[in-house]
Amino acid sequence: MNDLYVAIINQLDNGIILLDEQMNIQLWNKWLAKYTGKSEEEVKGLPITMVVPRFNKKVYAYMFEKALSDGQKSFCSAAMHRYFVDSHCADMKQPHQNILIQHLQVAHQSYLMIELYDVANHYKRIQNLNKSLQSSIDFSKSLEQFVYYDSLTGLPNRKFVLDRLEHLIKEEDKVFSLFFIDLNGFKAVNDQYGHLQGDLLLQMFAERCKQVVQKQEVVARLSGDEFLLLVENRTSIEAVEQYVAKINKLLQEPFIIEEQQITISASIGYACFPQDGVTAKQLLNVADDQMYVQKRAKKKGF
Amino acid sequence: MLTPTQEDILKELYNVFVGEAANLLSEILQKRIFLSVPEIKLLSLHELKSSEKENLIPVLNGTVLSTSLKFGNVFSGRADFIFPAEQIKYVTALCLGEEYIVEDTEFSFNDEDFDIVKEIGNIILNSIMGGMGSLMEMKLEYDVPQVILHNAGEFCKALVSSEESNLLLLYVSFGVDNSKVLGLILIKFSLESVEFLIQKVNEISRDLNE
Repeated sequence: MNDLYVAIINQLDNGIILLDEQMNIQLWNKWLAKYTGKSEEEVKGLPITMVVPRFNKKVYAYMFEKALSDGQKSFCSAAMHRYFVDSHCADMKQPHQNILIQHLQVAHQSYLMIELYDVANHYKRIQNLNKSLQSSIDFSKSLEQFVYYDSLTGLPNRKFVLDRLEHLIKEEDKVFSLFFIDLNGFKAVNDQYGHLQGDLLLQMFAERCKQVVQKQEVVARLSGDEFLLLVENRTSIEAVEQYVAKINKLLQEPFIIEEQQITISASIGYACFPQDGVTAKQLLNVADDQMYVQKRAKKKGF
Repeated sequence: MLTPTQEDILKELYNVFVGEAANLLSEILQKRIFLSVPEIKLLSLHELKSSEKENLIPVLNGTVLSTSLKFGNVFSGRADFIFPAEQIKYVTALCLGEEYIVEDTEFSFNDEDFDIVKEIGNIILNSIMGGMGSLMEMKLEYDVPQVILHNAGEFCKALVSSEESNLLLLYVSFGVDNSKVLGLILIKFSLESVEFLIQKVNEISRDLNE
């Protein structure tokens, strides 16, 4: 065989075996010699099944025969066959090898070429890459959770709702209502039962909100006992009143804390886009002012 | 495009071809593998767009993993063996004897999945090509199939815009032990190749009647 071609084959980073029609080895490249510890001189001329006993199986004999008779190429995956040749390194991990069997015709002489790829490290590398990609995705998700969600209640936070408002304002022909909700009497709960129980009440209120919130609605916690409800596409007086009633209904049932029934109420203000303001800040101010008007009225007993 | 007799003959022939592939796969996996072609259709790509719209187009328009090869000189075309993406993990789990876990997130495939599908596709398409070569009494030239993951819509788009105008559609039932998965083999032919195939089928039909 041409020395140049042999030199090239010996440089390849995979195993190459060339068999004649009698299934005797005619070429065994350097990669295989290094991998198996068997030199070409040792194996040349020997039947392939003697050097690679796994090829004794019927299924490979069939593939070899089909390659010689019909020129069929066969691919055998490491996933389904595991491996074909043994590595001489005792400390080598479980080998995984793909092979490709094909027919070669050179000057009326038929050969079988077996290309062998060690994919153990490749699979491992892909697995590690996948793992690292998954951790990046998980990290991004947790970062997003940290930036956009309130850690106490799990509700969207101020940033989330402000971003959403900015986005909606830019949309063409969009209308929406923004409700500012402040829980009345929350300070007294904190003073009487302590901050831990106060936090528990906020979490319970948030849970009630999550259960009723629908598509195109967002309930967010601003800070302390202040919450926002954003409702897209609804700005009529009737719709606004329905939402105020809906929020009040959420507080009808008392909260049970330390086996005590605690009933609290809310002061609610609202603003509608675009009639009450055209920026997020304006809308928040209008809803906030309205909420305070209501709070003062409640304190005066109206 | 096929008479019931032609359809029956082709169905029987392709069942013999895939039966050989099933034997080989059974041997490799040391499991009972069943492969059958319960349905076969010859359509023009124009007919595919209209008549198979409800049943087939949604599958072809989804995310699919295909093993494809081009074949032949005189008798030529392209064969695609496809599995809908949602079945791939099931197929690979069945082949490896692993437990199948339904993924609720997006499909994620690794090289092992691709290699398994490539090998199954290679074995099935080899059997079909070998069988068709014998039927046509010619040696078909073809390579090892390529595995491609097509995003939703991509496969169908490529299929209907191809040069070959006729499509032999084989529904392939792939069974491992007691589980079953349905795959599809689509073989696109030029008009001359289809005429050649029908001519061969007619010869068989005549021989049977004599």
